Amino acid sequence: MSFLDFLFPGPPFFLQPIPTEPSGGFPPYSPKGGGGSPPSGGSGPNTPSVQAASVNIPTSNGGVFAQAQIALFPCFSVQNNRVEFHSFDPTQGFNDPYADSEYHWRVEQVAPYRQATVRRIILTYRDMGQVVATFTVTGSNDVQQVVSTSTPVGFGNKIPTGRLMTVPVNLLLTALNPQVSVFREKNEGPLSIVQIVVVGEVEENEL
Amino acid sequence: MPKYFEIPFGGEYKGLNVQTPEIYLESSETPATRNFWFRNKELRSTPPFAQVFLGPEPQNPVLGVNSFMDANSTIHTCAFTTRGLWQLSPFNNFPAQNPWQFIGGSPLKVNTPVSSRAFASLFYYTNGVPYLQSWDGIAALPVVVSQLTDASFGGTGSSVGGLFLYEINFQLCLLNVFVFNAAAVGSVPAGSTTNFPQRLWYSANGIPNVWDPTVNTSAGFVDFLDVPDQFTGVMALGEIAYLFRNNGVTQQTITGNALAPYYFDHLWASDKGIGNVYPFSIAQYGSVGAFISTEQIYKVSINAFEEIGGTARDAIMADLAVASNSPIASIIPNYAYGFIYLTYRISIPLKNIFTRHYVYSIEDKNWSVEETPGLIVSGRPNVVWR
Repeated sequence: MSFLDFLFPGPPFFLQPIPTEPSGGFPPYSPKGGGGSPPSGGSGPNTPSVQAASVNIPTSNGGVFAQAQIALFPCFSVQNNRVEFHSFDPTQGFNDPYADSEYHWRVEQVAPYRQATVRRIILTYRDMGQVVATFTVTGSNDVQQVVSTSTPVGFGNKIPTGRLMTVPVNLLLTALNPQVSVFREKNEGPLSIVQIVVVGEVEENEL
Repeated sequence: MPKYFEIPFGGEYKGLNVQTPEIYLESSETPATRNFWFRNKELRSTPPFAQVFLGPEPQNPVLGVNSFMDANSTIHTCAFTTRGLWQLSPFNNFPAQNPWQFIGGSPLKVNTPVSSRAFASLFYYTNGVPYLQSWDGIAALPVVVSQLTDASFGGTGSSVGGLFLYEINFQLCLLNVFVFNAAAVGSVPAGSTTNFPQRLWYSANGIPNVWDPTVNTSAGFVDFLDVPDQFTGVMALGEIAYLFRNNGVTQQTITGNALAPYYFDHLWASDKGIGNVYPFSIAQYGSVGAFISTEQIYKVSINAFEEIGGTARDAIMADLAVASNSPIASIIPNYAYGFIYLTYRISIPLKNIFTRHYVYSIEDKNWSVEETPGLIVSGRPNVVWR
């Protein structure tokens, strides 16, 4: 028995180091690949299965250390032809190597039945690492054909900063009802878009 | 002279909207999206849906997973297959080693997710087999706790099991029960299983192993002969429980009378109406629950049902109609290591080659979409200890 037992009677406690971020700031801290939160260590009883049993209660049959919680998805893998447990793990970053991502913004009429020329998208993103994304503008023309143009853009730092960054995406399309979309091929990096601003000109002729 | 324009998009994302022409959408809505999360007002690609463990058996689907604390305050994380009960090894992060240990128990039913609940340091589970089992985390094997031998329960040696297990008023309840006839009774052959989809069993108050009212009068059962359909699931919220049927919801409340401990109210008592048509869409976290009806997705709280399908409902219902296997839903509060994203997830297997997940953020009230290629979600996801 140590002097601490006299100072703090009751269950034993442990001193835990306060998690720190190299660049300061607050959680969520940036894990490898950026974004998300670090392992918290959990708040559970943290009791391994081999602990001594209480009086008159036999020792537990197995158990886990309960150091962390995780959302487990029971799955059947078609490729591997076997049962597996999967989980979305944000601490591994947001670069999904297995599935690509896409997002379509609304169709922007700008002005009814006027041709709009989109020539630039101003992208504000959170730097979680290097990423390649393809921006596309799709619309229609006067002869009712679908027209589109795409531009792949690479951005982000090799060592993620977690800060907001802004880059221009230059492309050119003149069309009715333009719509912007973004596509990230699988394993092409973590993408976190905060804002886009679509820039261009629109006809002002009377109908 | 062309007019210059700048159109900003950003802020709070309102998620999927497939029920409005694209020019009428709000700037924060999307007509199509895949594998993006809208958490914290950012449009972020989803994290990897990576393999954490192998299953207990390579070819035998997992029927559920859950954690409980035993009398020694040791946490056990258990999984179920038709073979029985498994638990996660304490050294589960060692590669090339099966992280699961077989505990045993009686076999479980095929293709039926397991309903499980810890009560008084015991872990109870069932899935439509004619018995209720429990494991204390200490003994070598689980035990069958619902053996009933009174003739009124189907004959000598009969036993009872159920699909849906929950606790209310310090009593465990079993819904959609089966009676297994160990001996011939009348015209019922020995060894047969009789389905009582309108029957509710409840244990004695505070004694979850006693189900026989001739042993303790606070135990018993109720047959719902006044409803036109059968039960599909249950959700216990505080001192009430909602018993779901195909065409209705029955509210179960506590009477305070030990001889008849529950009062049942068939909420709208309509022949056709709001009920639960996908049994595994019922999910709950704390005071929040959700389920899918014929025409809508509902969020449930105490005394309130709120429509949440919103402008994504048509897409969800269209995919549910062509699901290649049972859709499975769950409410996930945290995904891993303190990453909080309180979401109601509907996982729909499609063409047996991938799963499309519709994800409703309960805090932000928006729907997003994920696809997991090559993976079919076969059991109800759950947040567990490792």
